Amino acid sequence: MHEQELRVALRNAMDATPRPPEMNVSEMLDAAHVDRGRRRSTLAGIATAVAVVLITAGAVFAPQLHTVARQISAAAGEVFGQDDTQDGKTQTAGPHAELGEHLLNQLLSSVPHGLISPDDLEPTDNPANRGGPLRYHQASQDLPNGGWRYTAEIPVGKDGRWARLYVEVDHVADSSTLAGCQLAQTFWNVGSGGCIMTPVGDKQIAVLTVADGDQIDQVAAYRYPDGTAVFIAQAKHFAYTGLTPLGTEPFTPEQLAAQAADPKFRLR
Amino acid sequence: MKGKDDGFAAYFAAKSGTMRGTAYLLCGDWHRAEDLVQNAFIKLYRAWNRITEHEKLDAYTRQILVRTFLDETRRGFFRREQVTDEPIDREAPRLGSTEDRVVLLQLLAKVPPRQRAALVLRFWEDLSLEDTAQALRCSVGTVKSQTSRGLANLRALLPAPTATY
Repeated sequence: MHEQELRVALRNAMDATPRPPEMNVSEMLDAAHVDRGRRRSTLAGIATAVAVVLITAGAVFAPQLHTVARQISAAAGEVFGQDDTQDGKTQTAGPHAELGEHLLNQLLSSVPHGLISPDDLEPTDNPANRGGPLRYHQASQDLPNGGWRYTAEIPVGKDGRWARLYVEVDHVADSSTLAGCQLAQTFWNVGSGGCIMTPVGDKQIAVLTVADGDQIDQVAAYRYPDGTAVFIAQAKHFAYTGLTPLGTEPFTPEQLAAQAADPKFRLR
Repeated sequence: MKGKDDGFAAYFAAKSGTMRGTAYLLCGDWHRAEDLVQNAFIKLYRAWNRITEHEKLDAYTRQILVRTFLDETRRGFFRREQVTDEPIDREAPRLGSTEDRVVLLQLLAKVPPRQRAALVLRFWEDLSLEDTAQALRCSVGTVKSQTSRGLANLRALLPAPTATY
């Protein structure tokens, strides 16, 4: 399923889905008023409680009470000192974001000889896709139990033709044990495809060729003994960009396996 | 207060239907969708008097809605309360009939929440990458990867080749 197919399918599906009656405006207003009253009561209660505690404890414990007050206020929905560099699961500044940027630099250091990766190349097809350069990196807490996922992506090519390189490093926080071809198959649910194990030094790297991939042609995967999983993916085109395809993958399967085995992508 | 309520009520009457459709695609259940919309508008009401840029009201409300969905999903609310999660282990749908189109929505509900949100905002709301990133409060790069992963996951659930329209 491609983007436009999903766009059409969603509309068809919604057209075919019976809708319940419109929501009631009065009920909505009542709910908003109840919420307002509840919040006022809560905040008043908190203010009273904090004042009592402050008077009782005195100035000796003032620094600690300041922290307690912040926690109480946060619990009531009044967020103080919020770190706006991390929203939910994606960090845009800080140690994890720096690791993501480091991963991008490592990927750039792997661009095959004869190919380039401009930092300002953007999609050319749909204006809605023009959200900035194709080159990017990110760090997101997307894995179970708070594990961090680092990803980086670049276009690579020459003579106005472009392919795609993508690297993902999972610092798992659980007991994931999938390895080899089973691990490779978890990447974007690419399916079984044709997977071979390729030795690189003392490591066995799974290289999976996607059967009918519209975004990724091949992915190499390796899991370190500490659970860290590295995926390097490539495609001979950069999907949904309008860019002219390079026509060949940047790496041979063996070279892709060597990249996945390279400790520079471990990020530890 | 009357003026505040009048303006808020008019906005709710005009936009709740659209927001409920988006919420339905996010959570896969009309009752939950209405709860999501109500919770989102309650949060909007709290900030109603402080909103000065009314041309951005839709984007702000949409952002509240999506954040509410993701927050509640993170807490396990939808996983615990899901009422329409019937198994999809029958013959693979071709998406041509009305029934099969509805099945698409059930499959969409199986895509991880953040990926689902990216798909819904990009392909149902037709938001740009930048507007989607703003709604999800993440980077454009994150939107790209979540969209790619969401499409890949959805494709894995659908039959191949996909029917055309």
